Amino acid sequence: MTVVKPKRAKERRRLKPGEVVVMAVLSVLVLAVSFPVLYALLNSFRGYADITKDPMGLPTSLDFGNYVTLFKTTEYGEALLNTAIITAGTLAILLALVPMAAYGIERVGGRTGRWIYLLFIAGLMIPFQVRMIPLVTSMNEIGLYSTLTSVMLVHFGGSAAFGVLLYCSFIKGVPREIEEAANMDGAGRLRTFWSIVFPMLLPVTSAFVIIQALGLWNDFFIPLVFLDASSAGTINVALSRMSGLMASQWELIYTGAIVATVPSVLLFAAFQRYFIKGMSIGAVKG
Amino acid sequence: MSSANLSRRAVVKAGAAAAVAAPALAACGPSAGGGDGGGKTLIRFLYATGDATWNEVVAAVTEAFNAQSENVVVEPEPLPAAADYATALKTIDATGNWPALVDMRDTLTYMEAGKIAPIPESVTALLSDEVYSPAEDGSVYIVPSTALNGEIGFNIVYDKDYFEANGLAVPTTYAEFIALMDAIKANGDVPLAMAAAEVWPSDQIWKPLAAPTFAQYSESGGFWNTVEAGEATIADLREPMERLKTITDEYALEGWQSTQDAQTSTLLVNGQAIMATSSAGLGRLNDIAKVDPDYNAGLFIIPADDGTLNVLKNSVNGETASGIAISKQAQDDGAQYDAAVEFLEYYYSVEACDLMEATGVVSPNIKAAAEVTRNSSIPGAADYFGLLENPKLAWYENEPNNPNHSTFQTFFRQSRIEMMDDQITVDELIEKSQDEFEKNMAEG
Amino acid sequence: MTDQQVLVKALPAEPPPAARPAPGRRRARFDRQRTAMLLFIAPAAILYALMMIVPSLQSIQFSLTDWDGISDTFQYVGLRNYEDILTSGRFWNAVRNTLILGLGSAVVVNAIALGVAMMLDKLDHAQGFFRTIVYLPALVSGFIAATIWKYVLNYNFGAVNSTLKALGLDAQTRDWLGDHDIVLWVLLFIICFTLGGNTTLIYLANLQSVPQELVEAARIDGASRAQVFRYVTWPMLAGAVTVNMTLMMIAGWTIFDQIMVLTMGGPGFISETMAFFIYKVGFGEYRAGYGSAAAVVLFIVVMATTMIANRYMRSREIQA
Repeated sequence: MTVVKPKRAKERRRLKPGEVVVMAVLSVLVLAVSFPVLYALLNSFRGYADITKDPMGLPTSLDFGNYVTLFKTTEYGEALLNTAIITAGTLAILLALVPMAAYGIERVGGRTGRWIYLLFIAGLMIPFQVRMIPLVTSMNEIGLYSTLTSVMLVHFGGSAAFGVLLYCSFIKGVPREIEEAANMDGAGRLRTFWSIVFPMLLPVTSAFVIIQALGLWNDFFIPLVFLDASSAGTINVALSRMSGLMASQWELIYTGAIVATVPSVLLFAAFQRYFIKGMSIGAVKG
Repeated sequence: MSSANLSRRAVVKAGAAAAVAAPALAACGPSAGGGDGGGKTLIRFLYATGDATWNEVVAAVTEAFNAQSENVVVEPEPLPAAADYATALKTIDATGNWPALVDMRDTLTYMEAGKIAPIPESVTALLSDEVYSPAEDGSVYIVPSTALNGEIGFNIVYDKDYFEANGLAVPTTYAEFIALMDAIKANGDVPLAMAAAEVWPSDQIWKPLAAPTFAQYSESGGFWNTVEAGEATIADLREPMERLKTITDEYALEGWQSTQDAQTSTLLVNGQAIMATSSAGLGRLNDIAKVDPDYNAGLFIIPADDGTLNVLKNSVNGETASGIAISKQAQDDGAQYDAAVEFLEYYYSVEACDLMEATGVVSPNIKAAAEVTRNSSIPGAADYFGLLENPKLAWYENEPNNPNHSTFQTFFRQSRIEMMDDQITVDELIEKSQDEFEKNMAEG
Repeated sequence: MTDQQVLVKALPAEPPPAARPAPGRRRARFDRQRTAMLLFIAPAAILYALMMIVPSLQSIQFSLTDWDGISDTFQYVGLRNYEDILTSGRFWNAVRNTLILGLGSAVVVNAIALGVAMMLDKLDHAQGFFRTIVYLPALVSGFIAATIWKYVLNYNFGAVNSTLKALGLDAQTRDWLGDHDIVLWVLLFIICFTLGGNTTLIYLANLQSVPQELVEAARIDGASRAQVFRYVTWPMLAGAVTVNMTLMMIAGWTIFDQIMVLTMGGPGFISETMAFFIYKVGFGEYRAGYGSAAAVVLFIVVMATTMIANRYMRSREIQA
């Protein structure tokens, strides 16, 4: 097998003019695409009358009054906590079940493996609206409606499909000799999986976890349907309720939008190293 | 289901309060003494958000009720307006998790499906006789949440100071209404702000225009029932449709397609339009006063050619009836039903009605109405109360019998917007609405 | 070269076939292995079936009824709901919108992401920093972005029209979310208003795995930059293009949040997508049976287009 000489190993050169141009273009692009969020951020420091009279004006002071109002007059704090619980809980269920299943699918292989694989992948193509009504009815029958658990379970349905896709494509490349050797040594299959195979899946796991975490954090529709007003909802649900209650109070809507976005930026900032590595790995094999 | 659990838990926790509660019951009416031992029962009151004044009314009345009730706690549950209210109600139903008290829409559908429970006489006895009515089975299922003044709240709200400064007057015929808008236009201003972003506000301009036609069928069972019987067609609405088109093209502030109901207040206050459509009556005046207390608002109803102000009478018991209902689920629970009844008895007391008036809505028509203190402090409120006394006011009825009618109305509303927006012609609107109407009614 | 990249390079280019025919003497072992593996799959499969497959099948059942979504009873009406849907102009408009938004956003976002990835790939300095900031816009949820856009694009108060007026460009102001000629394209613009996020990262990783020797050899042979891209880089990206296009299209077929927040399908019916149509008729118009039938049709459309597109792209990969 040929070992490709990585281009990063090139000796460090001086900054080329081309690079400067690229950096400038990318900076402009990022600023342009961030416009809505920056706009919301600036306006979150302005009052209603101010925004209405001069929509493009800049804040005159760093006034956190809107943020205080948001947390005082709404259940936003609880919504943040709910969102965190849903995100973490769904990830836990996914990690406990999906890598193992993907591994099983790849190792069963053949016609059976292919069919099970397709059954999972089909889920990627089933819009949530298709299963919404029956799910709401049955969640209620088993007493789980409007619980965070119901949201997590419903999320599992959609996320498992993507997980199986991602893990299967990665596991294809994992040599089976290692686990066969471990099996020969008498290790149980479950132990072999968790102690030998699962650690080898770390790159794809980190990609999966972060993609899912962002997706779960940002989801709107599933919690909208499965959490009624007895719950504070998730951040996006709380925000959508606010749009109803304060139809033209832009300043609070903008503030809520910023508050909802900050945690995902923090999450990304904290884990981005693993994320980018994981994405690259998952991607190359994808 | 979860609320039932809640109430049981609450009963245990609040057992000590029972002894104190008992004497208070007598004052509250006979039905409040449930078999649950008098512990505090928690019930939910589901209502539609979107109207700031209505939010405040619900908050004020529930708070006052909770403060004086010894054994019931009512928790207001605003239904998010992300979807339209009817859709959201439907979602609630799919969950089977009905609150005890519901701000009801599409009542006939839910009544026939057995989702709401009869309201006892202890409640209806407090109300004027004309604002409730028994269903076919003899029970009353819905009672009004505010004054039953029909669609008298479908108004044009206007800038009084502008009218005075420019020598303009409130129109007394349809021709004068058009002349008024021409005059405003000639001044270089935009006559009318309308809204259609949430779809339903487009009714605010349509209904007053169609009212003269609908009124012709009032005696013979209502327009929609006549169409269903095949004795009229949607083509009979051609004139109001054409008027709707003219007003949209000639006088409406651009951007109405994406303007939300609440934003028309802002447009008025900013002077971007001189008049705006509304369906909230006094509530809208109250909203405007909150945004800009100095704005001198007035309101009127678009008159018919002969000057008649045709206003739809409330349906007190049919598909279009809106008001408060008690859920069947609460009735099955027992304690929740009693709690809901206790709340409704308070809701129709003079004390609660005073609270509602102070917040800015016209309180329900109770028997003791004379004792209620009316709120006339809001700019333009006199215009609103004046409408009720106006000699030109003519009530008409138009209650559809077919339970599929709301499905048709949703379609009709969207199709009218297509026509207003030049996507289809009036002829196409008539044709496609007639087709859809026949299809929908056949399914029922 | 990072550890992970080494790992990738160490993997065989072609993974071994998943199930090799077992030699006779290993037969029993093979069967035991197989049972164990099926048990590995079971927990996820059962939960997945309950959350995904079973409710979807129930929808098929509802689609054959006249259920209004509320009553306890309903009647089977055969294929009538399907007939109604396939003869409804409103439905076909939703299909058209879904195709435009789904395919359109897949193509545009992939083009943007590839462009950004190629720019990032050019950087020898501060690549990590730029990779991070390029990803940041993707962290904002579609719902939040749409909510902000709704106010920014408002006809009478929005920042866009205010700015145009301030610049004296009054003629260019539009009712961005209410003008039926442009509303769909505005929606497409908002959906595509991103630098790609994950899509960019996938392309970047693939670009970095293009053997530099190949590029240099081509350059020595006198190939232009464009030719290098066309004959060396592009074929090497084929796999990534397939993955990215497939994922984006699947997301595109079910676009809902943006429609719900920005236009409610209007003005009229003009900007309804299939996902929104299903929601609207199934819930808002008390036609759960009809809505379920539309959902089944949506599933068939998604399945078919994804498979056709995938087959086409895979065949292109092999040729390349």
